Amino acid sequence: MWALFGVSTQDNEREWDLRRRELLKDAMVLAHYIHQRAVEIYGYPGESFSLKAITPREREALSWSAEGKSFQDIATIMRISAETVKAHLDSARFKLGALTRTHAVVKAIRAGIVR
Amino acid sequence: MAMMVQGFQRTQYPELFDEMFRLRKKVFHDEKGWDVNIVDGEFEIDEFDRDDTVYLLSLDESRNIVASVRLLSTASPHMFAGPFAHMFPDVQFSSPLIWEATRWAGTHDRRLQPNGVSYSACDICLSAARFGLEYGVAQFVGVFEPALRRIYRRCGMPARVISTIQDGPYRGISAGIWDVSANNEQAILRATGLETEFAQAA
Repeated sequence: MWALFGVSTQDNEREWDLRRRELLKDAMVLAHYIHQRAVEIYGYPGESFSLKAITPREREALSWSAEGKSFQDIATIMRISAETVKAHLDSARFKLGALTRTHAVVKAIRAGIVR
Repeated sequence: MAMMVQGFQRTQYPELFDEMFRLRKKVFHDEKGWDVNIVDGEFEIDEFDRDDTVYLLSLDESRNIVASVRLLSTASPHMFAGPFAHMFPDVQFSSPLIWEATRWAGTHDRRLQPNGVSYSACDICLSAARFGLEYGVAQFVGVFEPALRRIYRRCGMPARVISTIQDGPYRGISAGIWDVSANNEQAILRATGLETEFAQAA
């Protein structure tokens, strides 16, 4: 069983060619959110990959992000690479259903995950 | 020649999939002695070989598979969240923008690129970068042994190592992460001296 998420644009081919790689990331995230919400609403049974709780590393990265630290700052503080920081924050954002990292931090604070 | 297929296409390309799973058995079971699932005594297939699984293949002129790798979205069940979780507790990510690469398998390939790496290995590296750019992937995570880590470095895509197993049967195996970007694609093209058509299975 498949779900299909479609995007249409009024861009011409050249304009779309320039934009699509960046926009595609947003489309991927939106597709997943919409699908998750549809599954919740319609309560489909069967195999579902339940999003696990925020991991300790994700919580730590979110906390430092809430303090206004940059990727590189957080990388230095947590003694990991900037790429790994980015992955922790991206993962946290997805689990929180947030649209941006700022949104993720706010959601985390509201949920009591981060003080 | 690079090719991308997804698991649901197995009925469309039965011999190709069989060949890939046979290659994986040869590499992971016969040669490396890993504890992997063998089907019909012939194929290495596990629960992560699903309809939505993506496979990147490098084929030779006779359309034989020379190398293959498996890609999974970390927003779906994947190895780091399952069998690798206890080995790599710090590599727990879940995002549609982060994909996991596993089961890199290759046959002996005498065709060498100027960087000393086989054509098929270079092909897979470039295919992965292009897949990432085309399908909205921001980052890849994967496991690799030291030999594969050297290949990545020589192909212009050095892995940022997250952690390495210190002891036990999987000692020396690392988990790493890569950013996907147009710059990184260019770095791979330069390092490998490769220009291939990214051929997508219809």
